[in-house]
Amino acid sequence: MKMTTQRLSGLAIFLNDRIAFLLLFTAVAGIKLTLSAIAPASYDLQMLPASGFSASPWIVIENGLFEAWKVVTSSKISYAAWASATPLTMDGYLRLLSGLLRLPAFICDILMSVGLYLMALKITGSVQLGRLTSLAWFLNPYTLFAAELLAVPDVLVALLTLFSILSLLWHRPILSSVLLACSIGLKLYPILLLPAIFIYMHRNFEKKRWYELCLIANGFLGIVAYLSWLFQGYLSLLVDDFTTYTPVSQPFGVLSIFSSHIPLSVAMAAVVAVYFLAYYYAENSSSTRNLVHTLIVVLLTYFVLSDFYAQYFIWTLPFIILDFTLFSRQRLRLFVILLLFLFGTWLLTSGVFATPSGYSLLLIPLEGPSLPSYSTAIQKFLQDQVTQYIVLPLMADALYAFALMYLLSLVKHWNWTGQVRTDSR
Amino acid sequence: MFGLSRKLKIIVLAGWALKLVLIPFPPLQGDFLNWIRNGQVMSTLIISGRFPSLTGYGIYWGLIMLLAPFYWLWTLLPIQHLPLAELAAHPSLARYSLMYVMKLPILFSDFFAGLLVFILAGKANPSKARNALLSWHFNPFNLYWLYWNTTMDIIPAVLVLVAIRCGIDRKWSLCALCLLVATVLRLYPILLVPFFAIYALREEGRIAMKPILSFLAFFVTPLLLIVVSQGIISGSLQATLNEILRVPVQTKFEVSDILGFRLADFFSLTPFLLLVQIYVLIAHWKKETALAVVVLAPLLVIFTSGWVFGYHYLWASPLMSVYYALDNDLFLFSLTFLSGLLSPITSQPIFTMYFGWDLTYQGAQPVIDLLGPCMSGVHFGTKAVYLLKMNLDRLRGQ
Repeated sequence: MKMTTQRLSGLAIFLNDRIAFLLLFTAVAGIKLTLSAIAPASYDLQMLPASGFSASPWIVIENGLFEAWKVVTSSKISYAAWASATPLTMDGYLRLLSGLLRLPAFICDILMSVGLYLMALKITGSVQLGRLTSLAWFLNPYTLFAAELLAVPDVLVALLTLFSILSLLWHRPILSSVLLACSIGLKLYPILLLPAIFIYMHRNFEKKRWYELCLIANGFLGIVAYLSWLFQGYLSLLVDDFTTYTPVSQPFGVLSIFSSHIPLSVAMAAVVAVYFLAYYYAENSSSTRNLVHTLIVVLLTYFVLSDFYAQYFIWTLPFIILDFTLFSRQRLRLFVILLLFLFGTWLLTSGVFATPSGYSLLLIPLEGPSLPSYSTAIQKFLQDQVTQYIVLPLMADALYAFALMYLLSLVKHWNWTGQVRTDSR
Repeated sequence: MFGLSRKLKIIVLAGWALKLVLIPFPPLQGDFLNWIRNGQVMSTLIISGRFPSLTGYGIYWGLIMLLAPFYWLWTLLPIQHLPLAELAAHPSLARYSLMYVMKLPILFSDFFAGLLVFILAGKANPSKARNALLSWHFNPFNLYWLYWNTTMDIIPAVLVLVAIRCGIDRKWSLCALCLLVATVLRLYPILLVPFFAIYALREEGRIAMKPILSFLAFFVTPLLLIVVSQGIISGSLQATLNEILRVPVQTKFEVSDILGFRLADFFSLTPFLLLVQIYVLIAHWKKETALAVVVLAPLLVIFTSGWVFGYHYLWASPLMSVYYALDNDLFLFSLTFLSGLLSPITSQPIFTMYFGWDLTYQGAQPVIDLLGPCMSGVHFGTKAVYLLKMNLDRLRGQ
């Protein structure tokens, strides 16, 4: 293991001392829980019962929690009333509800940290690197906003995907397939990752035919599960969902307005190309490092070529964290810049994390009478034409450019020239 | 036959039987009906002693001219020759005989394409020539577009194969003539000329001017003949020249298809990438690279940098079978053609045209909306992989 944690002197005490690590982890968890209870409902949380996809497993869980809250507190407050309550008008019961509805995402957040710890431990055998990986996830402000504050279900999908990969490293391919099927059942995008797992199984397991068959069957089951609850929603929403957000139908019009009627998913084309090129030219396609890199390349390719919501970056984040903590510390700088532009774009497109309550998730009042001067300044900045037509496009372009640079920094190490190289992991 | 075992011979013959059986089944409509209708008009024109107008048919002039004798042949059959509209509406002996006769060019082209695929693959990799032949003969993509959709594009594609064969044998004049006829039939082979020229220059050195001049001579002479003959017919050379110059404008959609995606007002992707491909070919490809591969590269550029109809991929399909003999990547090959087959099939017009299903009414439109772009995406992706792999493997010296 060439990489050490010596250079991370500031973090060293938390990485070397188990108690210090757990104390830091607990303190941050406490802060996250407190913010979960204080923050107003995000649009994602508000839209849950009204989204039409009432059969979605995530919504079933959330609705169950809401019903449980009503029973325990004997409250007759409606979901809409909670969703529009400001941090100032929330009483104890509503704060309890806020925390409760964000609890599944918080639990996923914790489990993701554990998963990353176990994965790093499995790959490197180093407890310190395991802790570093875990903290890089848990202390990341992005996860706070995406998981706890926005409470997007993608955190659960990302968790299942991560554990699917972890099971693969533990030599439990069947479990890996089942977990992947579960994640596909929740959201279609993990189907994009199935070929990477397939290639890894093909290169690393005996009895691979059986495992590959299981993987394909589970992938198919996952799609059926996804469609089964999706079809219970409105068909028009299904069409909208398919043609706007899913990995397989991004129209070419996104890239070229001349061809907006061409039914071609450029992202799908690129992902297919990436997989074949990874199969032919990746440095050592049986290694764990290559598996992680392929997953990042595939997800970033989709990210770069589609109309992406910033919170969906959570699909890629665990693997990027594994990359810069375990494989290349140099890419940390690239990731930090990428994250800055991601936050910048996210802030501008979400109206500084506006919520139905008129408050931002940053607890800044954005609507209503007698706004403080800084709120007015923020509103003015957001509505300014310079922001809309110059700052936001530039920010988004920079985000896509750095995502592409990260991607290129990975594929440049592939064996394009045909020279034989060895790989340690 | 082709050095095939007895078992394989039976399989190949069974394939031919299947093709013959398939011929009368598709509905008589769409492109096929247009070909017949135009063949009928042109045949009538020629019989009445008139020369068919170039602008009336645009770049389809050549193919229709080729089909006219087949229509005339059908009129000689001792059967009742019903009007086309009636034939299209009701099954009859006349309809089936018409379908068989008008699909004869497809049958011949298919046979010669298979033969040339076998020969060219044999030149590149003798042990895999049979695989190449079978991959052509039983490719469902080819079966669908040739025998169900009746795509005449196979005719110029076969001529390009013949040009490659002639190029390998250094019969440059014949090679140029084939390319010229193919260009007259379907415009796209003109884009392949620089690649033939580069190959010829590498093979022959200065003597390679011969094929290039041959091509120019062959290209210009018939053009002059047409101009003069049309000028004599119309009585005005200037009017005839104007008519010829208007051909690309009249068929601008066909031209813009070949130019590929437009990324800016004056920037089309295909010409740009073709120039890049020419540079890569000159700078990095070995001289020994098979001519079939050299010619396939620009075709893949056309197909990855623009949106063309599914059947246009028949231009590249025989060469893909030849390349399969070199590459031997069955998964990539199958995925390319399967996705190519499914992407147009999953579009609403095909279902409506051939099966009369209104998928919007039946609630399947969302699935079509999903599968169409998805399959197109896979098809484009695999084509891009072929192009990249072809270039990267040449860079790696394979």
